[in-house]
Amino acid sequence: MLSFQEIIKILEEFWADRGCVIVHPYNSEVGAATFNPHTFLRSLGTKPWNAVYIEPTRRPKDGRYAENPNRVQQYHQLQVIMKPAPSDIQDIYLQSLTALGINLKERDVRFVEDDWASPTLGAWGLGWEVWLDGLEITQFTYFQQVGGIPLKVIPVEITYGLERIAMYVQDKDAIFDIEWAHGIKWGDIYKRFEYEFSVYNYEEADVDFHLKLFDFYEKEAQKMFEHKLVYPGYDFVIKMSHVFNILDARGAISVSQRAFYIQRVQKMAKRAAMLYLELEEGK
Amino acid sequence: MRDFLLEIGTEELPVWAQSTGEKELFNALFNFFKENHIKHGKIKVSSTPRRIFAHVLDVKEKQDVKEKIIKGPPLKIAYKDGKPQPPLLGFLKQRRLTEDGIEKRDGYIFAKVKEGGKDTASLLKTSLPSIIEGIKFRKSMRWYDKKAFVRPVRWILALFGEDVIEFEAFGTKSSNTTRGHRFLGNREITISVPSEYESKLKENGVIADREQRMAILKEKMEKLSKSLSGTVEEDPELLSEVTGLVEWPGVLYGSFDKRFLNLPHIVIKAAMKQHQRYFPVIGESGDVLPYFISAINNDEKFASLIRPGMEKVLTSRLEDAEFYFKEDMKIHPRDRALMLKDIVWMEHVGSMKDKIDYALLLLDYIMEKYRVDVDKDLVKEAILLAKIDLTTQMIRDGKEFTKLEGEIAAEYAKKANIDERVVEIIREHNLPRRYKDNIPKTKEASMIGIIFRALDLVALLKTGYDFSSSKDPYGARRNVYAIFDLIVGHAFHFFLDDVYKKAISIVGAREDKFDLLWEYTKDRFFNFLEEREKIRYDIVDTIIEVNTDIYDVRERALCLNKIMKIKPEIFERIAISLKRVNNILRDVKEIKGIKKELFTEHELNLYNAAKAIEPDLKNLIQKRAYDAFLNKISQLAPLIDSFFDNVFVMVEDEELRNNRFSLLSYIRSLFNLYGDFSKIVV
Repeated sequence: MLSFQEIIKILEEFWADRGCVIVHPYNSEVGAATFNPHTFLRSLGTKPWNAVYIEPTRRPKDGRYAENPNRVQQYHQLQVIMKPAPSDIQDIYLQSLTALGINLKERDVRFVEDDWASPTLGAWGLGWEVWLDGLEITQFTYFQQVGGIPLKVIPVEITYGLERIAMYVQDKDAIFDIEWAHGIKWGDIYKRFEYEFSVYNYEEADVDFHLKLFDFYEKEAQKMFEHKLVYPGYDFVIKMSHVFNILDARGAISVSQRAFYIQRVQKMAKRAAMLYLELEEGK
Repeated sequence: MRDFLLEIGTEELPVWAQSTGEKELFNALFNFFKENHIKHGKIKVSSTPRRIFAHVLDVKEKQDVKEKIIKGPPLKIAYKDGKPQPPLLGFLKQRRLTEDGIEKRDGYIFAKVKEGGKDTASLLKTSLPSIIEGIKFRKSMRWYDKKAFVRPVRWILALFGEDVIEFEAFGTKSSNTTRGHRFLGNREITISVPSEYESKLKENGVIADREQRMAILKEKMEKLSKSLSGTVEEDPELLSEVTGLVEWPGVLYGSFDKRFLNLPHIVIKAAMKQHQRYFPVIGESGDVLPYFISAINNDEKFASLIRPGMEKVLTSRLEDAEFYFKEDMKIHPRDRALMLKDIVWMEHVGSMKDKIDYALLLLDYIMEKYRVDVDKDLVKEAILLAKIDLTTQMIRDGKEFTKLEGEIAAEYAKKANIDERVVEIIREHNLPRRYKDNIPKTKEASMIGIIFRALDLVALLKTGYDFSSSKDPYGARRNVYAIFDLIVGHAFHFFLDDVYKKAISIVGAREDKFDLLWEYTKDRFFNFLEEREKIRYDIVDTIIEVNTDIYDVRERALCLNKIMKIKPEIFERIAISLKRVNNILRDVKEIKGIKKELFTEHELNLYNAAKAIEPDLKNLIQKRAYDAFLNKISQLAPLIDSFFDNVFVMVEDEELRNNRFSLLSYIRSLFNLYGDFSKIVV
């Protein structure tokens, strides 16, 4: 049986063999691997870019105090970004499942329409969720716009839900039972972590402090963009988004305020995108 | 004659895009053959998740030939000294004519030419790129350059008989190869003639014809459900959707733990249908059985391998539901009614608890004033409980169960042994959920629907919304239309403007904003009756001016509309006369009593006739006998005409003049029993 870490290794190697560089998770909390500059910024412009990386993904609102077998506030995505998208990318992707020992000929695999949009990042794309015997295991998206900018060269983003795949491959009913390495379970590593962050996200996070943080980060991002420092500036966009997610989980943001906060993050994300193009592509 | 086959091979198409693609492709080809005068037989279009194709039978090799007279250069430049000049020579060369074939008349060269006769193959070659690239979807994407399609195009097959029509579209060269099923026939397949296309695909795991695929799925599912001692739940929409999700119509059944049958069955069904697209299996008594049936895009022989995964996904959804349900059962629905104070109804307006309180006040008002025929106690009880599901985990799930709002409130009320009639009212109170949806069966549920929606509209008013957005961001249009549907469907009689005004005072919105809402409602009502009943808006306007009981407005408008269609002239004359009356009376400040002794012959005739029918008219309006009313009052038309033909109103004598004003005002008041006829557009 493949362990969680073996699954990651196989997938990274698989994509490395197809020309992707293995890069690493971002060292700041993100709500999706898309936020990582390896995807967000590199999707822009015309320079080719092929990369694979795992991303611990934080979704404060999904925390269930480690009590629900299927939902956690931090899980792992394996992200592939290929720009331009190869014309046989669907076949390559399916081969990657075969590499995990899944015999697709005996399975029910379907590409089910699922259009992706991230208002926070001013980004959208069309694609599918990939179903394996009714289970959604991957998000597959051709980006059309990022940071409010229509893309000239279309990248494909493939996001594997690693826990879902591991549960399928290992035939487990709960995330916590996934074999991380032989003899070590997912829960051994993260159960307490899940519980504590659920308490934090829902009960303890200081609302005033986070509201202030949001403002500070916004100012700092703005300042960095004025100094033409795209990476440090974008760092604070990521942080704004995470702080927003915590405030949201904490119930501190009303329905009508929501749009306003999202808009503020989006505005900064757009500035990052424009600046990146200006600096990297000389436009 | 040969068959023509065109297949656009793509990455997986969304289900909706398959039908859009079929229609667009059919139209484009139909127009192509028509515009190019190419005779052909039936055009068949169909699709799978990975292809849209058209098979055109018996296409002629060449265009029809047509004879036509064309005009050449003017004679004066065609010849010089009797010799043909360059303009003529050019014309002849271009049209492949000789001088013998031309005619000279009216100062010009004319020639008879044959048009058409071109090869179909070459016309196809030229046009197919734009036919394919011209297919439009409501949502499309780019993948390699600026051109867009709904999903990437990966191959194109174009065969005219045995010949490939060679061209390029979306950067892809056409050929005579297609591809089979991703797993059952993952290879390139050469098609040598159009007629073998579907059978070759079938050998490679693809049933290309959608109808056929759907029929197979249906039959297999029915057979399978029988073996489970049940029937598969009828759901044409879901069947059509899953048909668009598979190329090979495989079917399997799965089961789930019987303990989940304790969940409300609507919840079990939602868990199956909404995300997973499984079909529930229904037992003889109409109850859900612990099975599901699902389409699979693979051969049934792998069912035992695929089943566990499908069961597991469903189980985890049912476990979520079970968790919510158990938590939810800990609190009685009546206690939940209090918890509604923590749920926002509308920002800056109030909580759901406030909304419930307001609804009860508005109900009291309507019942007292209009004596509507509903069971007030049932309505009251239902109002108190209708929104309690907003406090439940089931509805707050944010996924498939959220769509069960209203139905969960009913289920939980049932579990708490609330009166069955109240349960049914709650179950239906959200109907109609959308345009042309069903309305509730009971008057009670409809009354709640009207009250909640009137409050929502008034709450919007309170937030400062001005009802001018064409995008309808807060569902105002949907609410107003639903109110009309409910009133019309259950023949409620009350003055809608009055109900709004009461709601405004209850909610504490600004009274001076009432007109904003009322004008909006009237405009929508004009549209509503125009769309649904084809009633002219000016006819609705005629009546709503004097009567805001909108059920009654519709009844009167229907009658007047009918009569205006049969004999428009009478009421057009009446409209003209009443416009004249309005003009005359516009500046008259005071109407005095009528003095019969001052009347001349024509005045007296009109007055007597009016007086004679007045009791009848009032009686007919009372009885809502609108046909009869209109017939009766139209008797006055000739008398009004002869009044205006023979009587001069604006005479010097003040007393005489005032008396004529009084007569006209009296006549107008009779018409106004029905509507303001001067509003009819003549």
